[in-house]
Amino acid sequence: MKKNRLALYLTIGLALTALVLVLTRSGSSTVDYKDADFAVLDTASVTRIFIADLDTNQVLLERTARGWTLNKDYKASQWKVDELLNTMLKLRVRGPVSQSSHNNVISRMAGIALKVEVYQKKPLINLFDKIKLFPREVRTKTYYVGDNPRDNIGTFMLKEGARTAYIMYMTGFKGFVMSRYSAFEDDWRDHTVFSHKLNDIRSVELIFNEEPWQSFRIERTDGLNFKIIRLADDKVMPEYDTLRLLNYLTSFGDLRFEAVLNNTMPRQKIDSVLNSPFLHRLTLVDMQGDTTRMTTFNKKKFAEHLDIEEKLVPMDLDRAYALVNRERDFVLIQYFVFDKVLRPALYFEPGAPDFSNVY
Amino acid sequence: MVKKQSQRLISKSRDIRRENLLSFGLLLVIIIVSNIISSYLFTRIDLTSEKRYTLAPATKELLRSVDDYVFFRVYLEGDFPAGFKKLRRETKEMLDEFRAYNKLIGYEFVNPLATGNAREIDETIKTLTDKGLRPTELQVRATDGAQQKIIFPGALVMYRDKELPLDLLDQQLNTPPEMVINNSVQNLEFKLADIIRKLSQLQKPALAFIEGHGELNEAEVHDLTQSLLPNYRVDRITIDGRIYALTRRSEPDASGNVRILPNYEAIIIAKPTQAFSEKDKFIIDQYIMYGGKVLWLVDPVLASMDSLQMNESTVGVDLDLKLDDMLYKYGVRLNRNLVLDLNSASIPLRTGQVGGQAQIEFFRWPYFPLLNQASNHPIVRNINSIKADFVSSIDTTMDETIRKTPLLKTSDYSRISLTPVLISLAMLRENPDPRMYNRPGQIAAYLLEGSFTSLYANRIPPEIADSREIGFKEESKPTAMIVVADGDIARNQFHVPRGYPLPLGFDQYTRRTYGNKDFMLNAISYLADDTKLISIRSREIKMRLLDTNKANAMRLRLQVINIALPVLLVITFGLLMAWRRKKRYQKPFASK
Repeated sequence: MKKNRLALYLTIGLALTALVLVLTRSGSSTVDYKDADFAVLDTASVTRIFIADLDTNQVLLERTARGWTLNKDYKASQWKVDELLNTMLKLRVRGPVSQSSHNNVISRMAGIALKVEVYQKKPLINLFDKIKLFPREVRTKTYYVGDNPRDNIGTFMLKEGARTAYIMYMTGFKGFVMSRYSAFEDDWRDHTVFSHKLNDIRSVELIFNEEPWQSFRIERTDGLNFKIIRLADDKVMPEYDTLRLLNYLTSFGDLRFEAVLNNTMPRQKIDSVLNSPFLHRLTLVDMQGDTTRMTTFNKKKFAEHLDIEEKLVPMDLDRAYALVNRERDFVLIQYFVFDKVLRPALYFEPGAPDFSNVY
Repeated sequence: MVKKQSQRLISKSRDIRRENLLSFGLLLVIIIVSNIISSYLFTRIDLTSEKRYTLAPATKELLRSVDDYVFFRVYLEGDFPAGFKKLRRETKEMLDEFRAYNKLIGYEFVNPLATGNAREIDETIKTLTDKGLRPTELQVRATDGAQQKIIFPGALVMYRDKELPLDLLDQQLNTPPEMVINNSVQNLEFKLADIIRKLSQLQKPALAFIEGHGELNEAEVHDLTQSLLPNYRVDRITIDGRIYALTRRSEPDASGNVRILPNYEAIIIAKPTQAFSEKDKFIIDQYIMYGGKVLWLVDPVLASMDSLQMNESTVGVDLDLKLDDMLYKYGVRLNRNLVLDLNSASIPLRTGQVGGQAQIEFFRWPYFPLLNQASNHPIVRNINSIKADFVSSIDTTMDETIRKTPLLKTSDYSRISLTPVLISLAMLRENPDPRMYNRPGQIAAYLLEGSFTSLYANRIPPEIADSREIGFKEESKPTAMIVVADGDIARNQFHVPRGYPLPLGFDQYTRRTYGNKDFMLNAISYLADDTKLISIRSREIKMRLLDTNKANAMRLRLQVINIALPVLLVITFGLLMAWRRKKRYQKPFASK
């Protein structure tokens, strides 16, 4: 056994050396991945992403059972989050920032960089990626995203505590990736106003402020049967065009606004618009009793526009303002998108003309 | 008692067996682990005869001078055929060798097409080709048959805010793939070092094409100029008797001395057709005396294929450029002759007309010799044959102060025709008589190095010789020049009928690419670059390929030797050991 003891010690020593080498070195790269490990290869395990800038803007994206939330308050735009996760997945090292420009890059980052924190669900015990026990949320990456090199391929990034900044690029994409990161809440907002399938709709009410006789309410009676009530006289429409009604109700499947104006438009101007008479008030109640409401307002046109009779058209014919999301958000909408749910009561009458080009 | 003793012996025997098994197991583990460790640790002793794993002094010097990160993103990761795996391994090892001298050299091997959807892969391919990397298409055997696979055997190399492409795979026509890979491996050190030099040089060396004596125009050297531009500043200048055309004067210092420096690292005199004035010669001479380098591409005989477009014959006559005395003074004489070579390029000729279609056939044209390396000098090492048009031979003078290295020569089947030469297509009607080609290996290019004596030494009046402004110098600083007795080797063809310039060395009729461009770039690099990295190109790495015919003939014997013999040896050794043990231990046990 004495003879074998030396061999045993040698084996243990060599095994430990091999383990250290295997764990610390990558055979096909000299990049120190302690400083350059920006990519998230398992985006499915990402639970939270926190992005902040130096101007107190910050966003917290959290994965929930109902999708991604933004700052615990709003629904986050799914495609934006997907795009960010895809970016994180495909981040690769283009090269270290040169020593000659490193100080400049770091100085610039100190002024403009975004801090990014990524949280993932990681098992406490992970055996060869086969046996994973005790999953818990941990902060896996903290790094700073700066601006771009001169040729605009890739973006400067620096890991927290690292000595070297790297230029990171995205495979299959020619350009910089800085724009994929934003600390502005509005950039991450989900733009959905209505996302209701026909079977989810209990009632829809549309009030025309300037033409009250065109206001109506559609109520589900049972199954796929509905009635239309004219709000002017509160009478049920005796006959209606079923096809048009179904077409109308199925149009609530995916309606989105164009932009949030809460933080970009002066408050006085928003108040001025909100104090003006509204155009439409559209209220949808779903089968669970939840109400979604949108109130629209005229938007003045920036440039003068003359109609076919050379009369001045004061209003924007393409866009309108709207109050959505329980009247918390002042947004911009496009008639091109919302025209199909802003039909007058007349539209449902059998043989009535198609109003698609009127409203 | 006997039973007890027997049990003890059995138990002892089991212990020994267990211990032996343990020893064997540990030994096995040690071997495996040692192999794992060795694959991670970079160390080697270069026992190869050609010292393929030892960096050249020029490379070491360059690496020590690198002061910022040089990062290689090598696109040689993935499942490749064996040849490309070898190229990958050699590239990695060479980069590791570089890193041993400077830790600022970094690399990452990536597979650019490993992930992403079809659109992203297309975008990646487009990006890489835009950046100058050449894709290579491979046939890869898969379970469901052969597959086409695109790879980029190259790298993008970044230094500060500059990025350059680097092709790791040489493009060589009519060369077996193994040879191409081997040549590529052979050139790795030069390629990697050269790209580092290109990226890290702060100022590009300046070159000038001389004009004003009927030299090749801009379009005729378009491809050469374009190939030079990434690494050099390229001007075209007319000397026109101006003293400052090739050299500049510094402000006088305290003692009134003026320093005179060449404006260009090298000048190229490409196929002049008009005589040089004495003033221009004097300016070029003084440029050389102050250390300037010159690439002379001079035809001493006027002969052109243009004259044979309409007529069956033409005459090659002397072309008096008034350069003879100058070149003679520097150590060479361009002979007034034309070299004919049986190893020559082909020309297309109309041999008849069938059904309204011209019948074109290709004939070897002895006036277009294919020049090959005349020495082992790095400028010409391992380059393809160079196509020459009406080339003359060069002789050297007895001046021993100048080192004269022959660069290019014709084949062993050459002959010489003295001017005036009747050049006739009629010679193609008959088979050439090899006995007439009895002047083998005519030298067509020389490299001259050393301190040259001015053509005007002891020949000019004192007012010029003593003028401070002119700064006449009789003896040059150590410098170099290359003299080629053919101006056309730098000229690119033009596409027929569209007229755009084709790559230098590409013959559109035979669709062959000759080594003209490599020769020109190497020659200019040798003259204009300080680092002398080109010396690395002279290293040869021998390829030890199997002789397929011999291997097939000896197949069974080789199989037996390689497979059965080791097994037989182990078995024999085991039997011998067993027999020895039996003989040794059987007796005492039996006696008890």
